[in-house]
Amino acid sequence: MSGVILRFRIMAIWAGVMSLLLWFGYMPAKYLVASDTFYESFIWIPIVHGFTYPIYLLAALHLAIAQRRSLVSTALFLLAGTLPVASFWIERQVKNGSQ
Amino acid sequence: MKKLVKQFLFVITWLLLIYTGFELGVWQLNKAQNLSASTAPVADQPVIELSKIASAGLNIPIKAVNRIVSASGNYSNKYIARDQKLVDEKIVDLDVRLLDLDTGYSILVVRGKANEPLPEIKSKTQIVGRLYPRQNVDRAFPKPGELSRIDPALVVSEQTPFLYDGYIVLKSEKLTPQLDAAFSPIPSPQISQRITTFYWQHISYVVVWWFMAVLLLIAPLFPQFRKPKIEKADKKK
Repeated sequence: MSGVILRFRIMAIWAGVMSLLLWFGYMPAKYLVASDTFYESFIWIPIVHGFTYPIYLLAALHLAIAQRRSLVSTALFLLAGTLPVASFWIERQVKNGSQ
Repeated sequence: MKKLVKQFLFVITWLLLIYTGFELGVWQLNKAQNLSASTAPVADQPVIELSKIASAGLNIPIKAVNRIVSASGNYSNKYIARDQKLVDEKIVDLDVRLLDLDTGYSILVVRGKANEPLPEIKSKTQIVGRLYPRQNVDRAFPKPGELSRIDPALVVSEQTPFLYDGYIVLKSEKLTPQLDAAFSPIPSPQISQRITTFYWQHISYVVVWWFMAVLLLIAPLFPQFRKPKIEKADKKK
Protein backbone atom coordinates (compact mmCIF):
# COMPACT_ATOMS: atom_id res chain seq x y z
CA MET A 1 0.00 0.00 0.00
CA SER A 2 2.83 2.44 0.83
CA GLY A 3 4.10 2.32 -2.78
CA VAL A 4 0.64 3.15 -4.11
CA ILE A 5 0.30 6.06 -1.69
CA LEU A 6 3.78 7.36 -2.49
CA ARG A 7 3.10 7.25 -6.24
CA PHE A 8 -0.18 9.08 -5.76
CA ARG A 9 1.39 11.73 -3.52
CA ILE A 10 4.16 12.43 -6.04
CA MET A 11 1.70 12.69 -8.93
CA ALA A 12 -0.75 14.80 -6.86
CA ILE A 13 2.01 17.31 -6.09
CA TRP A 14 3.11 17.27 -9.74
CA ALA A 15 -0.46 17.77 -11.01
CA GLY A 16 -0.96 20.58 -8.48
CA VAL A 17 2.19 22.39 -9.60
CA MET A 18 1.22 22.00 -13.27
CA SER A 19 -2.31 23.22 -12.55
CA LEU A 20 -0.94 26.27 -10.74
CA LEU A 21 1.29 27.03 -13.73
CA LEU A 22 -1.64 26.51 -16.08
CA TRP A 23 -4.08 28.71 -14.17
CA PHE A 24 -1.71 31.45 -13.07
CA GLY A 25 0.95 31.33 -15.81
CA TYR A 26 -0.36 30.17 -19.16
CA MET A 27 -3.97 31.37 -18.91
CA PRO A 28 -3.21 34.97 -17.82
CA ALA A 29 -0.48 35.10 -20.49
CA LYS A 30 -2.97 33.99 -23.14
CA TYR A 31 -6.16 35.78 -22.08
CA LEU A 32 -5.04 38.84 -20.07
CA VAL A 33 -1.89 40.04 -21.84
CA ALA A 34 -2.65 42.21 -24.88
CA SER A 35 0.06 40.59 -26.99
CA ASP A 36 -0.95 37.84 -29.44
CA THR A 37 2.40 36.10 -29.19
CA PHE A 38 3.47 36.51 -25.53
CA TYR A 39 1.78 33.29 -24.41
CA GLU A 40 3.78 31.25 -26.90
CA SER A 41 6.61 31.24 -24.32
CA PHE A 42 4.26 29.36 -21.97
CA ILE A 43 2.94 26.85 -24.48
CA TRP A 44 4.95 24.03 -22.88
CA ILE A 45 2.76 24.24 -19.75
CA PRO A 46 -0.51 22.87 -21.22
CA ILE A 47 1.46 20.33 -23.27
CA VAL A 48 3.32 18.92 -20.25
CA HIS A 49 0.13 19.09 -18.15
CA GLY A 50 -1.84 17.28 -20.86
CA PHE A 51 0.62 14.44 -21.25
CA THR A 52 1.27 13.91 -17.51
CA TYR A 53 -2.33 14.22 -16.29
CA PRO A 54 -3.17 10.65 -17.41
CA ILE A 55 -0.32 9.43 -15.20
CA TYR A 56 -1.93 11.25 -12.26
CA LEU A 57 -5.26 9.65 -13.20
CA LEU A 58 -3.68 6.19 -13.15
CA ALA A 59 -2.04 6.81 -9.79
CA ALA A 60 -5.29 8.19 -8.33
CA LEU A 61 -7.31 5.29 -9.72
CA HIS A 62 -4.86 2.74 -8.38
CA LEU A 63 -5.09 4.26 -4.90
CA ALA A 64 -8.90 4.53 -5.04
CA ILE A 65 -9.16 0.85 -6.01
CA ALA A 66 -6.63 -0.27 -3.42
CA GLN A 67 -8.47 1.62 -0.69
CA ARG A 68 -11.87 0.52 -2.07
CA ARG A 69 -13.12 4.08 -2.07
CA SER A 70 -16.67 4.96 -3.12
CA LEU A 71 -17.46 6.06 -6.68
CA VAL A 72 -17.93 9.69 -5.61
CA SER A 73 -14.66 9.68 -3.73
CA THR A 74 -12.90 8.08 -6.74
CA ALA A 75 -14.33 10.74 -9.08
CA LEU A 76 -13.18 13.49 -6.72
CA PHE A 77 -9.69 11.96 -6.62
CA LEU A 78 -9.54 11.93 -10.43
CA LEU A 79 -10.86 15.47 -10.87
CA ALA A 80 -8.67 16.96 -8.13
CA GLY A 81 -5.80 17.16 -10.62
CA THR A 82 -7.60 19.81 -12.64
CA LEU A 83 -7.81 22.41 -9.87
CA PRO A 84 -4.69 24.18 -8.60
CA VAL A 85 -5.13 23.53 -4.88
CA ALA A 86 -7.41 20.48 -4.81
CA SER A 87 -4.68 17.95 -5.54
CA PHE A 88 -2.49 19.39 -2.77
CA TRP A 89 -5.42 19.10 -0.36
CA ILE A 90 -6.14 15.51 -1.40
CA GLU A 91 -2.44 14.68 -1.09
CA ARG A 92 -2.50 15.99 2.51
CA GLN A 93 -5.65 13.96 3.23
CA VAL A 94 -4.03 10.79 1.89
CA LYS A 95 -0.81 11.45 3.81
CA ASN A 96 -2.66 12.08 7.09
CA GLY A 97 -4.87 9.04 6.49
CA SER A 98 -1.91 6.76 5.92
CA GLN A 99 -0.15 7.76 9.14
CA MET B 1 -39.78 -1.11 -12.13
CA LYS B 2 -38.36 1.99 -10.43
CA LYS B 3 -35.06 0.19 -9.99
CA LEU B 4 -35.06 -0.77 -13.67
CA VAL B 5 -35.62 2.84 -14.77
CA LYS B 6 -32.86 3.96 -12.43
CA GLN B 7 -30.47 1.38 -13.88
CA PHE B 8 -31.45 2.34 -17.42
CA LEU B 9 -30.79 6.04 -16.75
CA PHE B 10 -27.49 5.14 -15.12
CA VAL B 11 -26.38 3.15 -18.17
CA ILE B 12 -27.50 5.94 -20.55
CA THR B 13 -25.54 8.52 -18.53
CA TRP B 14 -22.52 6.23 -18.48
CA LEU B 15 -22.66 5.74 -22.27
CA LEU B 16 -23.18 9.48 -22.84
CA LEU B 17 -20.14 10.31 -20.73
CA ILE B 18 -18.00 7.81 -22.67
CA TYR B 19 -19.28 9.25 -25.95
CA THR B 20 -18.62 12.81 -24.76
CA GLY B 21 -15.04 11.96 -23.79
CA PHE B 22 -14.48 10.23 -27.13
CA GLU B 23 -15.99 13.09 -29.15
CA LEU B 24 -14.01 15.72 -27.23
CA GLY B 25 -10.86 13.76 -28.13
CA VAL B 26 -11.93 13.63 -31.79
CA TRP B 27 -12.63 17.38 -31.70
CA GLN B 28 -9.12 18.10 -30.38
CA LEU B 29 -7.64 15.68 -32.90
CA ASN B 30 -9.40 17.52 -35.74
CA LYS B 31 -8.13 20.83 -34.39
CA ALA B 32 -4.60 19.42 -34.32
CA GLN B 33 -4.92 18.08 -37.86
CA ASN B 34 -6.36 21.37 -39.15
CA LEU B 35 -3.55 23.25 -37.48
CA SER B 36 -1.00 20.85 -38.90
CA ALA B 37 -2.43 21.33 -42.39
CA SER B 38 -2.54 25.11 -42.07
CA THR B 39 1.02 25.36 -40.77
CA ALA B 40 2.55 22.97 -43.29
CA PRO B 41 4.80 24.79 -45.72
CA VAL B 42 3.04 25.27 -49.04
CA ALA B 43 4.43 26.27 -52.39
CA ASP B 44 3.96 29.93 -53.18
CA GLN B 45 1.05 30.62 -55.49
CA PRO B 46 1.49 32.86 -58.54
CA VAL B 47 1.84 36.59 -58.00
CA ILE B 48 -1.53 38.29 -57.71
CA GLU B 49 -2.55 41.94 -57.74
CA LEU B 50 -3.12 43.29 -54.24
CA SER B 51 -6.55 44.68 -55.14
CA LYS B 52 -7.72 41.21 -56.22
CA ILE B 53 -7.02 39.54 -52.89
CA ALA B 54 -7.58 42.24 -50.27
CA SER B 55 -9.66 45.35 -49.75
CA ALA B 56 -8.62 48.66 -48.24
CA GLY B 57 -10.18 49.53 -44.91
CA LEU B 58 -10.98 45.91 -44.06
CA ASN B 59 -9.12 43.29 -42.07
CA ILE B 60 -6.68 41.34 -44.20
CA PRO B 61 -8.34 38.04 -45.28
CA ILE B 62 -6.63 34.87 -44.03
CA LYS B 63 -6.21 33.64 -47.61
CA ALA B 64 -4.27 36.79 -48.46
CA VAL B 65 -1.65 36.34 -45.74
CA ASN B 66 1.63 35.03 -47.15
CA ARG B 67 0.57 35.65 -50.76
CA ILE B 68 3.06 37.32 -53.05
CA VAL B 69 1.32 40.38 -54.41
CA SER B 70 2.03 43.11 -56.92
CA ALA B 71 1.08 46.77 -56.72
CA SER B 72 2.03 50.06 -58.32
CA GLY B 73 1.94 53.67 -57.23
CA ASN B 74 4.15 56.31 -55.66
CA TYR B 75 5.90 56.31 -52.33
CA SER B 76 4.77 59.18 -50.13
CA ASN B 77 5.72 59.06 -46.46
CA LYS B 78 8.78 57.23 -45.20
CA TYR B 79 9.41 55.82 -41.75
CA ILE B 80 11.97 53.82 -39.82
CA ALA B 81 10.68 50.83 -37.86
CA ARG B 82 13.31 50.23 -35.20
CA ASP B 83 14.33 47.03 -33.47
CA GLN B 84 12.58 44.65 -35.83
CA LYS B 85 13.52 40.98 -35.46
CA LEU B 86 14.31 39.08 -38.64
CA VAL B 87 13.90 35.35 -39.18
CA ASP B 88 17.54 34.73 -38.20
CA GLU B 89 16.86 36.57 -34.89
CA LYS B 90 18.92 39.58 -35.98
CA ILE B 91 17.56 42.93 -34.81
CA VAL B 92 17.57 45.61 -37.50
CA ASP B 93 15.94 48.94 -38.35
CA LEU B 94 13.65 48.77 -41.37
CA ASP B 95 12.89 51.23 -44.16
CA VAL B 96 9.08 51.45 -44.30
CA ARG B 97 7.23 53.46 -46.94
CA LEU B 98 3.66 54.39 -47.55
CA LEU B 99 2.83 53.41 -51.12
CA ASP B 100 -0.02 55.47 -52.57
CA LEU B 101 -1.53 53.09 -55.11
CA ASP B 102 -2.97 54.00 -58.48
CA THR B 103 -6.33 52.88 -57.14
CA GLY B 104 -6.36 55.72 -54.61
CA TYR B 105 -5.65 53.53 -51.59
CA SER B 106 -2.37 53.09 -49.72
CA ILE B 107 -0.37 50.30 -48.13
CA LEU B 108 2.73 50.07 -45.98
CA VAL B 109 5.76 48.59 -47.73
CA VAL B 110 8.92 47.37 -46.01
CA ARG B 111 11.74 48.05 -48.48
CA GLY B 112 14.41 46.36 -46.40
CA LYS B 113 17.08 47.38 -43.93
CA ALA B 114 17.15 51.11 -43.34
CA ASN B 115 20.13 52.98 -44.77
CA GLU B 116 19.92 56.29 -42.96
CA PRO B 117 19.09 58.89 -44.05
CA LEU B 118 16.34 57.27 -46.06
CA PRO B 119 16.48 58.36 -49.71
CA GLU B 120 13.60 60.27 -51.29
CA ILE B 121 11.91 58.27 -54.04
CA LYS B 122 9.66 60.27 -56.31
CA SER B 123 9.56 57.80 -59.22
CA LYS B 124 6.58 55.75 -60.23
CA THR B 125 6.99 52.38 -58.47
CA GLN B 126 5.98 48.84 -59.32
CA ILE B 127 6.53 46.37 -56.53
CA VAL B 128 6.27 42.66 -55.84
CA GLY B 129 6.41 41.36 -52.28
CA ARG B 130 4.89 39.12 -49.63
CA LEU B 131 1.82 40.29 -47.72
CA TYR B 132 1.90 40.04 -43.92
CA PRO B 133 -0.66 40.86 -41.24
CA ARG B 134 -0.08 44.02 -39.21
CA GLN B 135 2.11 43.83 -36.13
CA ASN B 136 0.28 44.06 -32.81
CA VAL B 137 3.18 44.57 -30.44
CA ASP B 138 5.42 47.62 -30.14
CA ARG B 139 9.08 46.92 -30.83
CA ALA B 140 10.50 50.29 -29.83
CA PHE B 141 9.67 53.73 -28.43
CA PRO B 142 9.22 55.81 -31.58
CA LYS B 143 10.61 59.26 -32.28
CA PRO B 144 9.10 61.48 -34.96
CA GLY B 145 9.40 59.72 -38.33
CA GLU B 146 9.64 56.31 -36.69
CA LEU B 147 7.14 53.51 -36.16
CA SER B 148 6.87 51.52 -32.95
CA ARG B 149 5.46 48.63 -35.00
CA ILE B 150 4.47 48.04 -38.62
CA ASP B 151 0.78 48.78 -38.37
CA PRO B 152 -1.26 50.88 -40.81
CA ALA B 153 -3.30 52.20 -37.89
CA LEU B 154 -0.25 54.26 -36.89
CA VAL B 155 0.00 56.11 -40.21
CA VAL B 156 -3.62 56.62 -41.13
CA SER B 157 -4.32 60.34 -41.61
CA GLU B 158 -6.54 62.76 -43.46
CA GLN B 159 -4.23 62.53 -46.47
CA THR B 160 -4.25 58.73 -46.49
CA PRO B 161 -7.53 57.63 -44.95
CA PHE B 162 -7.93 54.40 -46.93
CA LEU B 163 -5.20 51.94 -46.11
CA TYR B 164 -4.89 48.24 -46.70
CA ASP B 165 -4.50 46.15 -43.57
CA GLY B 166 -1.10 44.53 -43.13
CA TYR B 167 2.08 45.35 -44.99
CA ILE B 168 4.19 44.12 -47.88
CA VAL B 169 7.82 43.04 -47.56
CA LEU B 170 9.50 43.87 -50.81
CA LYS B 171 10.96 41.20 -53.08
CA SER B 172 11.47 43.37 -56.14
CA GLU B 173 10.94 46.97 -57.08
CA LYS B 174 10.91 48.74 -60.44
CA LEU B 175 11.26 52.51 -60.46
CA THR B 176 10.27 54.61 -63.48
CA PRO B 177 12.31 56.61 -64.20
CA GLN B 178 15.19 54.58 -62.82
CA LEU B 179 16.64 55.93 -59.61
CA ASP B 180 19.66 54.97 -57.57
CA ALA B 181 17.75 53.93 -54.47
CA ALA B 182 18.64 50.27 -54.14
CA PHE B 183 16.97 48.57 -51.22
CA SER B 184 18.55 46.05 -48.85
CA PRO B 185 16.15 43.12 -49.03
CA ILE B 186 15.27 41.12 -45.94
CA PRO B 187 14.09 37.50 -45.86
CA SER B 188 10.32 37.19 -46.24
CA PRO B 189 9.35 33.60 -45.38
CA GLN B 190 5.82 32.35 -44.89
CA ILE B 191 4.86 33.15 -41.32
CA SER B 192 2.70 30.31 -40.07
CA GLN B 193 5.44 27.72 -39.54
CA ARG B 194 6.46 29.08 -36.16
CA ILE B 195 3.30 27.84 -34.38
CA THR B 196 3.78 24.11 -34.92
CA THR B 197 4.16 23.47 -31.17
CA PHE B 198 0.41 24.13 -30.76
CA TYR B 199 -0.14 20.82 -32.53
CA TRP B 200 1.20 18.97 -29.51
CA GLN B 201 -0.99 21.00 -27.18
CA HIS B 202 -4.08 19.65 -28.94
CA ILE B 203 -2.65 16.12 -29.07
CA SER B 204 -2.09 16.23 -25.31
CA TYR B 205 -5.80 17.07 -24.87
CA VAL B 206 -6.67 14.14 -27.15
CA VAL B 207 -4.69 11.88 -24.80
CA VAL B 208 -6.54 13.23 -21.76
CA TRP B 209 -10.07 13.00 -23.23
CA TRP B 210 -9.63 9.52 -24.67
CA PHE B 211 -7.99 8.33 -21.49
CA MET B 212 -11.02 9.64 -19.56
CA ALA B 213 -13.33 7.81 -22.00
CA VAL B 214 -11.39 4.55 -21.56
CA LEU B 215 -11.50 4.90 -17.76
CA LEU B 216 -15.27 5.36 -17.93
CA LEU B 217 -15.56 2.38 -20.28
CA ILE B 218 -13.73 0.07 -17.89
CA ALA B 219 -15.31 1.62 -14.79
CA PRO B 220 -17.69 -1.37 -14.26
CA LEU B 221 -14.60 -3.53 -13.67
CA PHE B 222 -13.56 -1.37 -10.72
CA PRO B 223 -14.18 -2.91 -7.28
CA GLN B 224 -16.22 0.20 -6.39
CA PHE B 225 -18.99 -1.10 -8.62
CA ARG B 226 -19.19 -4.39 -6.77
CA LYS B 227 -21.06 -4.56 -3.52
CA PRO B 228 -18.76 -5.14 -0.54
CA LYS B 229 -18.66 -8.72 0.70
CA ILE B 230 -19.65 -7.65 4.21
CA GLU B 231 -22.79 -6.00 2.87
CA LYS B 232 -23.68 -9.16 0.94
CA ALA B 233 -23.14 -11.27 4.03
CA ASP B 234 -25.38 -8.94 6.05
CA LYS B 235 -28.14 -9.28 3.50
CA LYS B 236 -27.97 -13.09 3.70
CA LYS B 237 -28.56 -12.88 7.43
